[in-house]
Amino acid sequence: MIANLIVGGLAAGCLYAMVGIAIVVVLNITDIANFAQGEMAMVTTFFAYWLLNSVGLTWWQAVPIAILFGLVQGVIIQQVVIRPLIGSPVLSAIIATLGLNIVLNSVAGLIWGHQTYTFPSPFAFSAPFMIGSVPVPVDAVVSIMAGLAIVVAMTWFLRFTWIGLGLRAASQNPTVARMMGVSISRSSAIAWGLGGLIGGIAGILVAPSLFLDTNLMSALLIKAFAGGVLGGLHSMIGVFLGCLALGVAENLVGAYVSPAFGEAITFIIIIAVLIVRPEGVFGRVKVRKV
Amino acid sequence: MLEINNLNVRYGAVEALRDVSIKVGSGNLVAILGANGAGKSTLLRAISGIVGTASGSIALLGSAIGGLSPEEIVRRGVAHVPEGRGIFPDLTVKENLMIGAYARRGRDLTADYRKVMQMFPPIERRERQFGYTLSGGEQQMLAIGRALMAAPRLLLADELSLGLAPIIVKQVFAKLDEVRKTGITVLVVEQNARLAMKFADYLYVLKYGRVVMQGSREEFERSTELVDAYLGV
Ligand SMILES: Nc1ncnc2c1ncn2[C@@H]1O[C@H](COP(=O)(O)OP(=O)(O)O)[C@@H](O)[C@H]1O
Ligand SMILES: [Mg+2]
Repeated sequence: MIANLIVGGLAAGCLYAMVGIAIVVVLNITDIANFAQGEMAMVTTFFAYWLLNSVGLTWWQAVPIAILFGLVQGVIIQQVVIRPLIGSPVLSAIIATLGLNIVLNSVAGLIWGHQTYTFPSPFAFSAPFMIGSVPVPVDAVVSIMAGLAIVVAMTWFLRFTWIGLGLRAASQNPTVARMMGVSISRSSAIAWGLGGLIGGIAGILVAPSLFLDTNLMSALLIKAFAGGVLGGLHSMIGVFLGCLALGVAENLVGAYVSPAFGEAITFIIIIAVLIVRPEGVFGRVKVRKV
Repeated sequence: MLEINNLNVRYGAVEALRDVSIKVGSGNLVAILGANGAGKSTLLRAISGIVGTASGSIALLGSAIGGLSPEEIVRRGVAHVPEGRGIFPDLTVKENLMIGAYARRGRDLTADYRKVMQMFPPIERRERQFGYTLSGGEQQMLAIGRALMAAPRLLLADELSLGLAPIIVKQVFAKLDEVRKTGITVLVVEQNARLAMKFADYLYVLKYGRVVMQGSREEFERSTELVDAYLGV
């Protein structure tokens, strides 16, 4: 029982973590908290649904195309909405993402209406995987593997590629990064593209269990922020672990305390962490001046 | 190497540079002196393409670089050691050096990397440490090393002496002299006139964004009082 709850919590946590990582990549590189991250992922998921249902592609054909759509969508939004705001106060860009959040939701509502769709998953009816005596649903395994793969791939990308090095430099000191030849607007576009891509994966993986409608991502976005606050919004690994911890805590509290409380735990965590340790459990306070 | 004519730079209503004309000959070390706020950093930033210019021209080896992107300017051989050193705190020493070669990414950089490391033994020992763990002097050496990784023809150095103990400043300038001896042209900006006069071939004094005095080192040595008056010391 408890093992099942933990595995289920980790799977949910990995989905929160994908949205969290999407947010953190954009936040660290551009200083913009992207409140439209969830709605961008929702649109990507609807695009995947359209490929599946109207175009008639298989899941394995539709999903890679949709993920690529997520990337392109991120870059286009950066070019159209964010780029003109480079150089103006960060707050304007954050407010722009709030506006974008509403626009994307309304546009999706116009196109797809406000009803609920069933989003297919090739893993939904597979027999569970046995780890020892614990049966683990295949979709939980897929979420966990996808979460781990994203963390590993992103870490590798940021640490061992030129573009990754440029992105980290741009996030630490944009002016000096420019002196080295790093383009800030290109860095920002890459960050938004990555955010769109990773968020889209989360949307596609969560849609089969939550059902697809225009509010698909609203709960996930809040939980991603909560997990991020818990782990520390400055580190990708911190966000990942924070989201896992949140997913597991929700499940355990929901089962052993009260189901209603399982949801409340998100907000209790946000508030408690902000009071006790605002930099997050894995965060480190930036006091140095270089 | 570098020729700037009638350069004007504005930040909104602030005229940071007014009709500045300077020349830096190949292989020379030229110094720009000036009090705080005189426009020294702005001049270097304009050369690097970090701030836009209102009018005037900047030419490197005879071709105009005004209006090019910073990346293109680095690629043409201009490297910048920024004021306050600008070390990336959460990059390792090695990564801080490699980012200096960002505009040359894709090329084989091992030989250049080894050469820079050998030039700065205190840095070599700290290859895997994060930038923020270095002392001020080490950071300044690292910032120079990072600029050298761009394989520059022209090195811009902004107030290397800022916040460093006199003995460290001496070491840093000795390194800069070494750099110049490898054939790289150097343009430094300094508030410390005595220090700059020890190393520079030719000097300029900026005041309120204008060139108010220029001359060879010998000429400057003969008029130290005038220099001091301009710098307000
Ligand atoms: N980003 C900026 N925005 C507005 N004014 C600036 C900016 N940077 C510098 N200035 C102004 O331009 C003038 C020259 O500054 P600066 O080039 O930094 O001088 P220095 O390096 O000689 O101390 C100063 O009056 C300064 O206040
Ligand atoms: Mg300055």
